[in-house]
Amino acid sequence: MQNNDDNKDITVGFDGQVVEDGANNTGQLPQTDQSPEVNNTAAPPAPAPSEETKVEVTQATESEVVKEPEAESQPSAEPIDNSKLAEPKESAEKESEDKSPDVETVAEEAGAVAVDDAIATSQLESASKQVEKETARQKPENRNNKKFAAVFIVLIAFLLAGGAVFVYLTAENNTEETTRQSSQQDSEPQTPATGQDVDQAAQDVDEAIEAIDDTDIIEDDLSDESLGL
Amino acid sequence: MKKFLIILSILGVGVFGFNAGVLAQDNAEDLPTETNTVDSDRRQKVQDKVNEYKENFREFISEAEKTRIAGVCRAAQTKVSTVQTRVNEAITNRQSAYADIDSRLNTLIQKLSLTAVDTAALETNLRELNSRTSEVIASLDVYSEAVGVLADMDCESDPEAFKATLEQARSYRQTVANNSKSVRDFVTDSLKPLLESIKAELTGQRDQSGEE
Repeated sequence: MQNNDDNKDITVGFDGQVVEDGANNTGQLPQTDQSPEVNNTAAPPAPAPSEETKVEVTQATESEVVKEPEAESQPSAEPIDNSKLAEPKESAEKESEDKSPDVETVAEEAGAVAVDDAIATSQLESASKQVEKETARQKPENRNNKKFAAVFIVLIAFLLAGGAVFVYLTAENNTEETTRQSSQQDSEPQTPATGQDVDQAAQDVDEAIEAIDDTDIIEDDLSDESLGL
Repeated sequence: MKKFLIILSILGVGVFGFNAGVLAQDNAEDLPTETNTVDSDRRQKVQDKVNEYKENFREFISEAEKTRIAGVCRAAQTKVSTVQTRVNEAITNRQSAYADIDSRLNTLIQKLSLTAVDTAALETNLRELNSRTSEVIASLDVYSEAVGVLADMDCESDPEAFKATLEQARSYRQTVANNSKSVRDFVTDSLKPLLESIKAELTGQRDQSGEE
């Protein structure tokens, strides 16, 4: 009898009702063909669920996914004995270990689908965020390039200005030197000339004339003898 | 964007090149003229001068003389090059010396203007001196040019032109010597006596003011 209780399955209907199906061990769920004793031994590999089972699971999944709040809010019409349910739960757990599509499996799969949807959604969101990040990352690069170009332009402007200033200052220095020399000559005489000043001037003129060495233009430079002609 | 940066880089290099060119041009202006002159232009200029010298040359040169000159003119041109260097140095030295004389005399004139001495005669002497010194510098430039042509010309192919240029350079050298002597003579004969008279006048004025 205990074995019979263990073999009881629970099927969740489209309306969310839970139905015991202990008598029919061989009917709707092919996995229930496995006897409870199988739990004590190593379970053979679970056969692929039939078309009917797949449809049932899919429908159940849809109903659970869609009507899960209703199932929680509206208890089933038929009261369910907890003791009876407890035993099938254990059986269901065991069967779930045997990979049979029982309630929990269906629920898990339904949850998995929901999780998959959620994961897909989150992946989409993350992908869109990543695209936004990429876009945002590219924008700063463009900004960096623009900044680099701006800095480069400013540098060139500084170089141009520096070159212009250098040329201007060079020309200005030459002009200043000439002006300074003439202004020094102009500003030197502050006192009236004396006989000593005149003597000094005559001596300077003599020295300058004597400093001119006419030997640099002597006739012999271009003579036939000196040129070997 | 890369193209834009490449264009900017080229622009930057161009700016550097422009500035370097400007600086090089500034520096090149200080170098001797023949350094800046393109060879072809220089050759053309030399040839024009040779033709000009040949027109002024009336001496007859025999074929034997031409052959002899063509054989030795290359060695002579090497010596002429050293003469040209010396002439260019002479131009610089004379310009400096004449500028110094001009500066000293201008200073004296300004100081004398603060006294009762008449400076008109000294100013006239200074203008005459400057005119003569300018002639010396101008004749030196002409002489230097002729010596340069003599050193650069193709003497072997045209020995008559070499002889004509040599005679022209000798003539220019004589002009320089004459102008230089003219300056010396003017300083000795005119300027220095004038300065002595000015000194005497200043001394007389001082003595006069001392007696008063």
